[in-house]
Amino acid sequence: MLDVRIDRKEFASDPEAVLRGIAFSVRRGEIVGLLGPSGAGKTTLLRILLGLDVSFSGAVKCDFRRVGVVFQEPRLLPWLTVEDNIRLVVTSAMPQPDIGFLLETVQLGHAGALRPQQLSLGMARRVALARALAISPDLLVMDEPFASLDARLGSALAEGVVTWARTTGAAVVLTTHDLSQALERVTRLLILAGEPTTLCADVPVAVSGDAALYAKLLDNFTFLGADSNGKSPEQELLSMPPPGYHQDK
Amino acid sequence: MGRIDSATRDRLLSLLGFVAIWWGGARLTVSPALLPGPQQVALFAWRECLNGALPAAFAATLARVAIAFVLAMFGGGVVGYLAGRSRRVNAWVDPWVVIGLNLPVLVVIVLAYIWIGLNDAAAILAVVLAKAPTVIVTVREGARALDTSLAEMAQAFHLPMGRRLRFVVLPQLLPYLAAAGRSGLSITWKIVLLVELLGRPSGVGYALNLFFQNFNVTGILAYGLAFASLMLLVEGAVLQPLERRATAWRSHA
Repeated sequence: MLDVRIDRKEFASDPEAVLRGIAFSVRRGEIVGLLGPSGAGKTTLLRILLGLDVSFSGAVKCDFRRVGVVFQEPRLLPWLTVEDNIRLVVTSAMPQPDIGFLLETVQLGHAGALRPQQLSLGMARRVALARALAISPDLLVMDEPFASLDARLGSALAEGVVTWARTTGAAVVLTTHDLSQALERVTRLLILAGEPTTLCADVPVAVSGDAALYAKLLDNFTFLGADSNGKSPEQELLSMPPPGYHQDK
Repeated sequence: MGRIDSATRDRLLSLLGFVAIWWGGARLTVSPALLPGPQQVALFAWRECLNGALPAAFAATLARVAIAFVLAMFGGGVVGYLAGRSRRVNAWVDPWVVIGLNLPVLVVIVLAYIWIGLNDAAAILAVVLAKAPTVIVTVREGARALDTSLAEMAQAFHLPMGRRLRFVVLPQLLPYLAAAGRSGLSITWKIVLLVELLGRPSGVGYALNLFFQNFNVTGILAYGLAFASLMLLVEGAVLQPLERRATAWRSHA
């Protein structure tokens, strides 16, 4: 289980708090979406739960043994091939992955011998996903994982991650600012908003077409302000399919 | 047979020009002992090779250069890395580095011989102390330029320390280490010659001292130029290919 409690987080350059009063837990098998507008501190929150940022008041307790990470940028080593980048994070104590199979899974079966500089951003992000899955994580943390992929590929990969998580029982925490995408995939939504950012709502997303869920989200989403695509939260909500509905691509 | 590119041809012509000027100068001097011609110097070097004096002197000097070079690179590399990663370490190291950079090499050598004695340990220590500050400064810059996002990736995946150093840190430091190594070799061998000239009974520096006392310009030129050529060969045949290999991934960009 992952237990996160952030009483207050501020940056050295700005005494104003950026995160305040955020507490939640993540259990095995859950797919938790952190939803909030750009600049709300979602990445900061992920950095804290990964142990990369320890300058905050609060506590993070993580019982998961292997944590796979997909950062917003791919963060591949340019001097290693794609295969070696994936192999790098696998130690001898871990189950040894079939790297060819992993690359096939992210539709990059041909790219094992290439170097990151020879990949597009979308390809590099898929390698980063394969790298995170290579350690057979019991917690997978992803920061806007499908942002730079085309809609069809992003949807296919998101579906793949959901299937993988359901099969293995691993937990997933992902950030997104796309409500409709989040609702299609996650089992729980944490809505972050306000100044400083607080946890506005912790909503289970299990029941399809649940009118009460819509109402609750709409209620909370008004805190978020306009999304980066220019739509208001209400427009965003009205334009999306109901939870549980999967549009044929 | 491959064609020689214009830059190589110009270099060869320039080198030939140097030999021609030397030869012309030697013809014009009143005394051949003051400036012997290239052929006399080459012949002297060949004779010294045959009687074993030149290889023995080269071996002694090369051993000192190799030991001092490795120690200065390793010690300077470690200190430079730590200084680049920690402001506190840098605050401690920086004044020493500034003093080291500005202290005349001759002072370091003389003090090492006085305090430690006329032996190889003092000679090598003097060379290391004279060379290490430049390695520290170069590697410190490299450590400051390390990509923090890659370090975070390594931390998030809990990579073992050895793997982090080998695959994440070292490849980023290599261009800086290569720069320190190339400038380091040329400085190191020149300091070693000075150290030998001042207080060792073997090596090229010792031979140069003997030739100086006997006013043997042919010997000075033969040993000096032959050793400089050997060092250029080491740089061209060993250090540069190593550097190219270490940074080959950049060509895929």
